[in-house]
Amino acid sequence: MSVVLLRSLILYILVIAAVRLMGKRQLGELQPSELVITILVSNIATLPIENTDIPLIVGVTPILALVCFEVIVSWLNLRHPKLRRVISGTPKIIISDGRIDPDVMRSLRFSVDDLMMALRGSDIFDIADVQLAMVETTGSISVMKKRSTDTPERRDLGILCEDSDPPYVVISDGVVIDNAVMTLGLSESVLQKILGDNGLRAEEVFIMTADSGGSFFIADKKGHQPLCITLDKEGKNEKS
Amino acid sequence: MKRVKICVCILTMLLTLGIVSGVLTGRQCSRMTGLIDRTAAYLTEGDNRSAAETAASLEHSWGRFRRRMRLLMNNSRLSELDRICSRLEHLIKSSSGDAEAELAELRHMTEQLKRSEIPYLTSIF
Repeated sequence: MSVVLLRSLILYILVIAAVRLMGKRQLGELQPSELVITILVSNIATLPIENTDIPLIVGVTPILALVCFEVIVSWLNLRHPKLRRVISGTPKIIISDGRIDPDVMRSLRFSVDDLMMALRGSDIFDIADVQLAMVETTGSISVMKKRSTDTPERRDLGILCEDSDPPYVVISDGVVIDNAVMTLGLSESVLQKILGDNGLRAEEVFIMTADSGGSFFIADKKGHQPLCITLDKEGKNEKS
Repeated sequence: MKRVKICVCILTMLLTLGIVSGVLTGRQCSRMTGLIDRTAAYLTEGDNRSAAETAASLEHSWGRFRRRMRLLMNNSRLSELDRICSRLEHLIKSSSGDAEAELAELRHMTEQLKRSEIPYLTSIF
């Protein structure tokens, strides 16, 4: 029993390490080869846990080998576009300029129902609204709506705005997050000053966010009404 | 690139482990086959004492190898060989007629073990 427990622990650590080795790409949308590897790894990992007759090294070898092959093949894919086309395929356009291409759909074994379902998944209920639709190598469909039916953007309406990153969490449950503070070019003394001006200490803050434009959101641990502060050019608080 | 380097290192390690395991198994199996043949020859000549001594050294040699290979090979396959090796000396000492049959089985299993560790076309496919 304890052997199984220890083996489970070791394989748990190994599978996490293997997924980390495959990288973040693996955690997003899976390419066909990545999907196969993920399923294989999860299946193989259970064998040495269940069967103690199988030495751990024998169980671990195929997991490590498959993950390594996958990483090396994805690296080769990056360097050799031709290989990428062989392994992952290429995206296929099924609707172009509003016209459906039945030949491509047939070659992809894509039915009209599949197409309509994919469009509904992209919040499009009228196929007449589609300008371009592409089947990606992952099998998902990317759709571009016709400009005439698409939601207008600020630039279409002539509304000026600044492009800025979203706010970062700078204090979480009383702990100052140094990385976020550094990224925003703030210092801890500035944070302390802002908090001090509002009668708070960092330990009393549940969540505090800040953006590069000098806007802060502060919610304390007592559950009081959160503060929204914008620093003016002189560094003075403007509460809202 | 760091990930690729780590993967190349892991694959090299696995490959080395595979080669070492194959070489060790091949060498041990050849040694055992020699001892099995010698035991069988003594039995044919009716020299049970020498046959029992050779069987004891066969068991000893297998025991040492098994301790190491338990890490690299399926335990159930090794257990079968364990069973025969541990019976052999007693069978010979008690002049049992089963000894020769057990030796033949042991020889066959030893060859199978060797074949399974060395990547022949037949063992891969």
